[in-house]
Amino acid sequence: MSAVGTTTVTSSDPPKSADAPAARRYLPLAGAAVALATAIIVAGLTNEAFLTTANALAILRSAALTGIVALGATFITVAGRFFSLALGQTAVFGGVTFALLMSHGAPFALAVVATLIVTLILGAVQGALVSMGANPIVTTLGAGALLAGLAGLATGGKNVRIESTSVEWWGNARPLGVPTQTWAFLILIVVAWFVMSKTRFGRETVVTGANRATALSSGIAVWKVTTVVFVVASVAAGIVGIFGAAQFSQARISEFGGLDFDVVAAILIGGTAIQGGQGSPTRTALGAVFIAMLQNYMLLLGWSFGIRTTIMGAFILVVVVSFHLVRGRAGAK
Amino acid sequence: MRSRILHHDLILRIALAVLVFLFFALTTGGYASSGNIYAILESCALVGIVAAGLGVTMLAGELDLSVGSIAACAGIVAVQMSGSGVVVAVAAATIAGVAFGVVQGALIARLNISSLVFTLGTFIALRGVAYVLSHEQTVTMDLSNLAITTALRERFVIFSPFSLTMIALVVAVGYVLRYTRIGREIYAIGGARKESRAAGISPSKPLILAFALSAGLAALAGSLSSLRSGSATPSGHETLLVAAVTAALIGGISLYGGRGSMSGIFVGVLTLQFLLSGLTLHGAAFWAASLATGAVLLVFLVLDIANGSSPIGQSLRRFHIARRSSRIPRTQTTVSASTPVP
Amino acid sequence: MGSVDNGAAPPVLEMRSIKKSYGSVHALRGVDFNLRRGEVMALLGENGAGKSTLVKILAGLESADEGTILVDGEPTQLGSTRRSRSAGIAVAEQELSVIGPLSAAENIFLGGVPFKGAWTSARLAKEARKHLDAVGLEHIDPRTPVETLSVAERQLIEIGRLLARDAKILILDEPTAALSDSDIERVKSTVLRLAAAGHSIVYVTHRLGEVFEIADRITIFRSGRSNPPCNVSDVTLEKVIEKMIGRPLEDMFPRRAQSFRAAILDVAGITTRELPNPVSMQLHAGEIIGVAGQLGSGSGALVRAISGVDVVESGSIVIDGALLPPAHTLTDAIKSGIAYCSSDRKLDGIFADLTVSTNLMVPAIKSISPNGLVSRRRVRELTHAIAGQVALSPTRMPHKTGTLSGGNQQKVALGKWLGISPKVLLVQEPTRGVDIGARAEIYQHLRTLAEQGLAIVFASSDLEEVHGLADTIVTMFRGRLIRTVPATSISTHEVLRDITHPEEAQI
Repeated sequence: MSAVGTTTVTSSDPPKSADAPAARRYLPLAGAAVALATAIIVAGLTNEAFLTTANALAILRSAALTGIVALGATFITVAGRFFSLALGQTAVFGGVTFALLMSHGAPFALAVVATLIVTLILGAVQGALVSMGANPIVTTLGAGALLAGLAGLATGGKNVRIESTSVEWWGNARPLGVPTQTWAFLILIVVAWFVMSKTRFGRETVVTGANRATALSSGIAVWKVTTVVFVVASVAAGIVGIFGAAQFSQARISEFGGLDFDVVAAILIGGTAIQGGQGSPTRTALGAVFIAMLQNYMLLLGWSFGIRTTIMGAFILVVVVSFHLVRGRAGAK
Repeated sequence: MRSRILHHDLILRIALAVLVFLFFALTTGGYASSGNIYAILESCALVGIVAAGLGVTMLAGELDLSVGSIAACAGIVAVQMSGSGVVVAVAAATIAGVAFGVVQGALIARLNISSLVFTLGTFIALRGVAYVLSHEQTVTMDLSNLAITTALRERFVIFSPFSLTMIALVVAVGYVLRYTRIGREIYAIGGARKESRAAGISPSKPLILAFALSAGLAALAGSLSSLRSGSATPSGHETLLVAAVTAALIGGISLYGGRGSMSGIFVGVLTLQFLLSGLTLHGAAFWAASLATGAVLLVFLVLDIANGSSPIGQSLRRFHIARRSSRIPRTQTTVSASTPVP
Repeated sequence: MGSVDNGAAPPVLEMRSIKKSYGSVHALRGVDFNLRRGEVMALLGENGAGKSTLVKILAGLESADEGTILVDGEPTQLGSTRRSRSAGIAVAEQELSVIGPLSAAENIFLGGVPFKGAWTSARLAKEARKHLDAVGLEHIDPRTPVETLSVAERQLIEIGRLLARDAKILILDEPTAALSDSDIERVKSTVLRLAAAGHSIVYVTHRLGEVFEIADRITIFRSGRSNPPCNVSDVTLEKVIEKMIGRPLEDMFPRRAQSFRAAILDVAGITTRELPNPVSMQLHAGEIIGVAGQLGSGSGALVRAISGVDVVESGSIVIDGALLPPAHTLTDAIKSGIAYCSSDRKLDGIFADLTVSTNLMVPAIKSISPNGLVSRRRVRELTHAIAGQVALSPTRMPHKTGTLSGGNQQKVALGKWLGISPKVLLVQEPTRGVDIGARAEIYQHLRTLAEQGLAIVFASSDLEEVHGLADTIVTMFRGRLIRTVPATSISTHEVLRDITHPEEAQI
């Protein structure tokens, strides 16, 4: 699969070379969309409750929160740094920060901005450590534990309530019938796609993941790219944390327990390679929808949490191994 | 491994452990009582056994993320089988763990896939299995089998069967690492994977052993822990991975592979539990353990980077040379390009 | 020398009419090779002559396409490392495979060497002692971690490992490439001692001086063919050199520059870890300098030092009047207009999975994205312009670079730098893995770029290439710059002598 969004030859060149690249560029995305559509059809045919509006909205909403974080986390994977396992705790910490600020009388906009700045700094610290050579998974494991502790410290173990109608609106409104989280998801899909394929930073991310040594020798500031991708993922988690707190008008430290794994699953199923160098936020978004659908479908079938989790884990294994075999390369040792 | 350099390193870590102990002994009442030391060693047992196995995968240059989930499954299986006696229950869970580890290690070796990614999948899948096995509830031992719990809590001064098992296992794994060919091979593939292959060492056997140990020991620890407490929950042992990795890092196991020893892990576990016990006695809340563990992990992670081969070393050299050169007034001399042959 | 038996018994190793091709590249075109018991046979030849292919076949890493191999007179198949080992063959490769954190004793016994019982350090030390003594490491404690030993000592441990495997045929590939004088003495005396003890040794090297000191016979490979072996006592250095070179000189080199422009790069007395002796060099716009030298000569190290990849510890570099900061980094160099291509494009020269278009734009990524947004128009203009300059067809743009031929890949690796309009281009092994036809093209493009004002320094172990393409030749041997001369005033013969045996060269 070629990287989505690479510039190609234009009409000044012989027509046959102009067609091929465009088609090839969109093929993976089209393929993913077709797979998703097929899954929807199959699911709908085999279970009546699946294709109702209420159900669809439920899927979209749960897809939205995972999806927003997954959009940000895609940058980490594309840059060749595997995954962050601190995003769930970052979301919790973001929600807690936001709730605490609101409950101390801060205006809404300020609370949001402050929370995002906090998550930005958290991401930058982790990114800096990784760019110095630390293992990203262990670093984020440690950071996640640290954040869980800090969240506990800040809240004293209790939920933090928010009394604010504007917050409640943000958490539960449905402009034009679509939940706010889903609007945010859709907007951020466009933003993420734009950043990845049209900006210098996005190209540098792809290139760093494709071959770090070549990127370094070509003059790319790999350490900067590494730091920023963690910032992006962290801020995305912060956004979701705010939404989570807004939805229930309280920040709970027990939330977002499985977020990291759903995010990893969404990225992998969306076809982003673990070694980095290719992948797209749009496909990750489709992956997130697919995961939400899968979870929803299994719920409708009455399958227990245990079975659903086992299947999710097994699914990740199968996808990882299949892609690994197809690509025929070592998993970036 | 047994050079003077490493012993020096180990002594530093022992000193750190002693320092932490003394700090709390002097500032917290009851810390140095035999009762508390017993409690500390008890808490060491679980993390210690798991860290021993996990440490072997780290030495081999890999990481087994699934240890927490394995421990949870093992605990559930052991409690469910407690009717057949402690030996059978523990043996069953452990054998299952070893078998799983062998398969995991074989797949990772054969596919030549990153263990981080692979064990992430098994981490999630096994957590689900734990819920399935326990029917989503906490399983408790039958009252008729409570004798097992009492037996496992038996106290010999400051030790218990659990902590004695840990010590025995750490010694045993340490023996294998130090005195067998396959132990050396683990260090070799961890510290120098490419050179090992070139030297004719196949990574398959050492990898299979490493993952069999990490899964088997996690299962052993999980089953003993649950039998000791009389119950097992499917969501249990979620913090075990972070604790074990932190203990290993404190003890000097490098994430880059090939460096560290079992004695180091033992010291690392002690240090961590000294700290956590001290915090608990000080009255810290439940989330303090998480905070402390996370913070300590990050600190030792940074130390590990500074030790290992990273771009930092070269940057430091450049910095020193640049500083040195800036003090010398520069004179432009154009030396003749050809040097006569001696 | 060793106790050579003169042909009475069958040779311990005999290879007849060995052919090996990799696709269209004929590495070995029917070579013969034999080795007698207890002798040291030197295997000589330029890079690409087929020496390493023969070594790989003996090690069992490759199988010959045609030909027979006889060990002790018995026909043997050597298709796998296991069979090679059971035939008693052991190879010490160019790249050391000693394992740093482990001790000397452990390194000797790891990797399939039989050792029964518990691996206590005491027992390992005892058993390792005799092997260490056999290779001249009597003073080394077997428990020492290998990473604390010098390169020479590691080399000897590698040989010790071969002995522990009870090999009767030892193949040493460039054993002294990275060693200093005193170290070389140790290796040489070890080799002689081993031969005297009955081991048969194949000594692959480019250091002709050593050959005359320790070898009994010499086999010379040239362009995939072998010369019949001759006794060392029957030949002179001159004759050996003559037999080594002389690849049909194809008409692939463009004419050299008539004159140069202003001096653009002034390297004054720089040293690095790999270049302990200060090296100086001057480069003019429009000039192509070729640095000739074999493995371990420092030719690559020189290029890497100027590029900033290796840390320059003393000396100065001035480019276009601007002094580079001390211990300058790669980024400093790029900013000053110095572009660098390493010898391994797959490692850090190209992005194999990304399109040609993307590859070409990376160094210039800032200039094609003026406000952070990548401008497709600029990318197109840039990549087309570069493609034109290196004769890459525009139809190649959307293809993944890894699917291109070696020559086209190299064009991408070199051409991408044109995006930043460099003043100096540094290249290591500019045509490695490139077939003849594409080579001529690359030479032409490099010359054209020079004519347009670029200054080029390239390091190569292919002396035909150095002599044919460069305006000025710098020869290096064992970390020392031997001389700098215009290419027109030196023959390839003399270049070869400089880089293999400079003591006899007349300057």
